[in-house]
Amino acid sequence: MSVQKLVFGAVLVVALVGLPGCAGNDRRDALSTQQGVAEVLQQQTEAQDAQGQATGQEYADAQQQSETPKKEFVGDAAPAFEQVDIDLTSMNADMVYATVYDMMANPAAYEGKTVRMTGPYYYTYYEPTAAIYYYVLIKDAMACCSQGLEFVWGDGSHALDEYPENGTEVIVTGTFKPYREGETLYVHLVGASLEAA
Amino acid sequence: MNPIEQLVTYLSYPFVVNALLVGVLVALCASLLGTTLVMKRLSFIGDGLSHVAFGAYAVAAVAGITHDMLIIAPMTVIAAVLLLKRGQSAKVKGDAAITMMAVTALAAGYLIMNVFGTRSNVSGDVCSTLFGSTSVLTLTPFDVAVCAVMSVIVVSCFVLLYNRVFAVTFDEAFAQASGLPVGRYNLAIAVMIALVIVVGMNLVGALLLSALVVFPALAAMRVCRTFRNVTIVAACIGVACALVGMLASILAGTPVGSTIVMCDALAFGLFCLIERAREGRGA
Repeated sequence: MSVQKLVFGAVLVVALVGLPGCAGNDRRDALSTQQGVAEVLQQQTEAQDAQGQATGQEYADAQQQSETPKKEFVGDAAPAFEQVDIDLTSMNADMVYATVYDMMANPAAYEGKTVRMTGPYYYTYYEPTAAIYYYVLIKDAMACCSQGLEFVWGDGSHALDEYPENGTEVIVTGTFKPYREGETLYVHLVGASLEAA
Repeated sequence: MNPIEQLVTYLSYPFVVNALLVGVLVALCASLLGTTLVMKRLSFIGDGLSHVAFGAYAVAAVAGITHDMLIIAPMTVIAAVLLLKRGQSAKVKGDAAITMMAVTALAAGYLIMNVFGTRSNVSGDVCSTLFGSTSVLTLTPFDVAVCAVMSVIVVSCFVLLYNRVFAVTFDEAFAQASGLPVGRYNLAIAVMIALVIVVGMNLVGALLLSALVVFPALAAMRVCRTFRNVTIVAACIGVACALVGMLASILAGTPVGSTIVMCDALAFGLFCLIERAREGRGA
């Protein structure tokens, strides 16, 4: 083998080994701290919840309680529905996202149907209506987009401290019902049961 | 729940039936037109036009237009006409012109969505439009109606003008010398392929759309020797792969577009094996 080929081969090997080391510390740090979409989503939701807290006394109490370890959430023993019309817990990611999308786009077609869903639970306080809204996040197949589906646990009389912590995986079964607030049409599950997943 | 029961449950949802219907119609139209494009050595035009459609989608999204087909369809048709009617006198020919238009539209579209976009998840929208993961499962009745009308037009034109399409495909110069208005037929093919691409973006996304155009025709050409047989077999392959791909995707939760294209690729591989087996027997 000629000297030229040897030198070329040596330069190639050095380049292949040395080039990755040229990546700056910043990029390595960024890569090492890069978070998945799910984690970012959860952090943003929790941050929004933290910002949205204001006047509700119940909400302020919940904040104080959240500093101390909470009991593990138990919830309802079983859903109080004999038949489930739409069971999102048994569907794959594509169908879950498409079904929830269709429920949002055509709510009239789903009114009165029993829906069962699972996902991380969150609550948020909305100052204009002075109300706390409870919902489950449903992510799309690529986990880059998500939709929240609101629910009312039982008759809505449960106190906030009876609910699980934000981010807890839960199973919710309830009756699908559209409702209006102002001029906007929303949807939620009413008379719902809330179980730990 | 076993897969059959699960499939029966899923088929009770109207949006699943709509998706299967649109998928079959788009695959049928794409494979019919693909036969002509492949034989005219214009396979890449599907890819180019789908990139233009993405750029048009970006403009429609930023402008907040509800029915984005009102922007996408005209812009894609104009691009198709420009590409197919340029002819031999063009300074920038064939694949170079297609590539130039495609990358410009893709870059412009992404730039517009990033700079002027108002949606919170630009990457998700872009990814969904380029790869069509669940878009076909979220079609409106308007989308389904547009697809049905387009399919009727494309199939009718292909059947009624079959002999002329054949002549324009194989020997354009002879067809023109024979008195056929070749320019008009090329224009008609351009408009039809643009419409198929606009509707097909919902099925497999902009980046994978050319697979619906190219794979069925190429697979059919492995085993068929006449234009009529290639057309019929390509249509059957295209429809079968779209149907199998969508059903597999719905059951397994995989991205719809990628699953359909993998079915097309597997079908092409299968027909290549059949061709080799035939050649082996013949030798």
